[in-house]
Order: sequence, then structure tokens, then C-alpha cells
Amino acid sequence: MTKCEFLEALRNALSQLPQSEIEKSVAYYEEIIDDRIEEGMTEEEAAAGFEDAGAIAKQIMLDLPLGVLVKSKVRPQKSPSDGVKWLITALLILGFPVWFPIVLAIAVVILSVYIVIWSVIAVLFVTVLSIGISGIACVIASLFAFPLNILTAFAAVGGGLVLVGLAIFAFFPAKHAAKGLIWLTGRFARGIKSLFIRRESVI
Amino acid sequence: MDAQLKRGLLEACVLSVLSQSDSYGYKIVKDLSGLVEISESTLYPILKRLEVSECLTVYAVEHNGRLRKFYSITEKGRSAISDFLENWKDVITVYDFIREGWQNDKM
Repeated sequence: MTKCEFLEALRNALSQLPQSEIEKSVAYYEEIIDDRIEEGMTEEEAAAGFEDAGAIAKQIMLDLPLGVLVKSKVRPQKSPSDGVKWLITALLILGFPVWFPIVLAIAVVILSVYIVIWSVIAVLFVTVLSIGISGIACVIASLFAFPLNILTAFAAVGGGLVLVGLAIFAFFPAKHAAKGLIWLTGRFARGIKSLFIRRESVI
Repeated sequence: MDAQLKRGLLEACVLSVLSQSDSYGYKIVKDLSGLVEISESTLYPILKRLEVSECLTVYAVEHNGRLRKFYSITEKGRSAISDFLENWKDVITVYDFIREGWQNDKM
């Protein structure tokens, strides 16, 4: 492989990046190759002594901040001309009554999914809490019953303790279920994000 | 060696080389290859990162009709070296401790 072939291959592998980044990387490797040739290597040897251009490019891209990478993937590098920018802005403004309700509706749907999931979690805990509270209320009520009717009082204490026990027992499955539901919201959110970021085999 | 660890070490090595004198990519690799496993491809992201963190600056010098990029250490780069030495004092203390324990264990 000649020096030019290697640098061309590198340039191609880096093509999605901003021009300045491509030039910096290519200039670095060109300098290395030239130095090697100066030290006595042949051009073939100098251009060969690297991993292949694809692997080098991947390493360079991996090292770039995520923002630069996502921008380069999502937006085409050829910055639109001013005329195109105006056209797009005009279309966005004119089309506002069309796309805005759609975006709003989608946002509301997403919000309601979240609300539903969190409501289920809330219901679970409120249920457990109310069982517990009624149990405590029973025990407290029994204190008033004692002077009146001992049997009723004991029944109330027993019933109250059963309820409190039930609440404590039910608390842990409720916590588990809540955790599962929260994980579900996480998956949901990630699914939505992945619609925007076309991730390829960069990793 | 652990990749993250190696990266930190290499950054300090590069800064150390530059603290002796300004240098260029190929020469830095040559100077360090006796000490650690480093290739030009490994060096490039390190130089970029050091430039971003303002530990070095870059300037170009004409050499045999082409431009050679020279890297020069900054004050921030020098204090990064001293931070490295400070941090690794603890590592060395731990290393000595473990090695002593290891030798006693062999007994």
C-alpha cells in the first residue's frame, strides 16, 4: 500500500466526521509515515506498519466526545446552504398547525404511559399503607373497648395485629413490583431515545 | 495492563517527555517505546486529549519541505505531572504493603 492509498483509506473511513477532524488525523499519520521514510523505511513498510485504516478510524471516532459523534451521524456533514435553510424554516412555520398537534399528541401519550405506571405503583403502596393503618386503628380502638367489653377488645387487638402483619408482609412484594414497574419506565424511555439515535457499529 | 490505567500512565509519560523538551509525534513514540508499549495510533488520541485539556500546545515547524507538528508542555501540563506524582505516592505505599504481605505469606 502506498502512502496515498493508506491516507485515502483513512480519509474515507473518517468521512462522517467534520472536515477539520479528518484533516488533523490525516496530517498526523502523514507526518508519521514521512518520518518513518526519513528514518530509512520504504514507503510500503511505512504505510503498512499500522492497524488497518478502518480500525484506526474507529478508534479516533470512539475517542471523540459523544456530542460530536451524534451530531455527525444525525446531521449530514454538508451544511445546508442558506437557501435551503430558509426553505426549511418556512416549511416548519407554515406546517405548524399540522405537525404541532401530532407532536403534542405523541408527547401526551408518552406522558400518560408514565402516569399510568406511576399510578399503579402509588396504588400498590397506598393499599399496603391503608391495611397497616386500619390495623393500627383497630388496636387503638380496642384500647377504648377494654373498659366496655373485654372480648370485643381482644378481638379488636387480634384483628388489628393481623392487619398490621399483613401490611408488613405485603410491603415487600409491593416494593418488588414497584421496582419492576420503574425498570419498565426505563426501558420505555430508552426505546424512545433509540428512535432518534441511529446507532451503528461504532461500539 | 488495564486500559484505563494505561491511558493515565501514558498521558503522564507523554507530558514528562515534553517537560524535557518540545517534541513531535514520531519522536515521542521512539522515546517512550523502550519504557511502555505505545504505538503512533495509541499516541494520537492521547495528544488530542492533552491538547483539549490544555496541558500542551501545538505549533508547526518546517522540516524538509513539509510541516512537522511540535508539541509543547504548558503550566497546566506541568501541574498535571505533579498531581500524578502526588497521587501515585499512595499507590506505591499500597504496593509496598502488599508486596511485604506477599513475601511474608511465602514464608
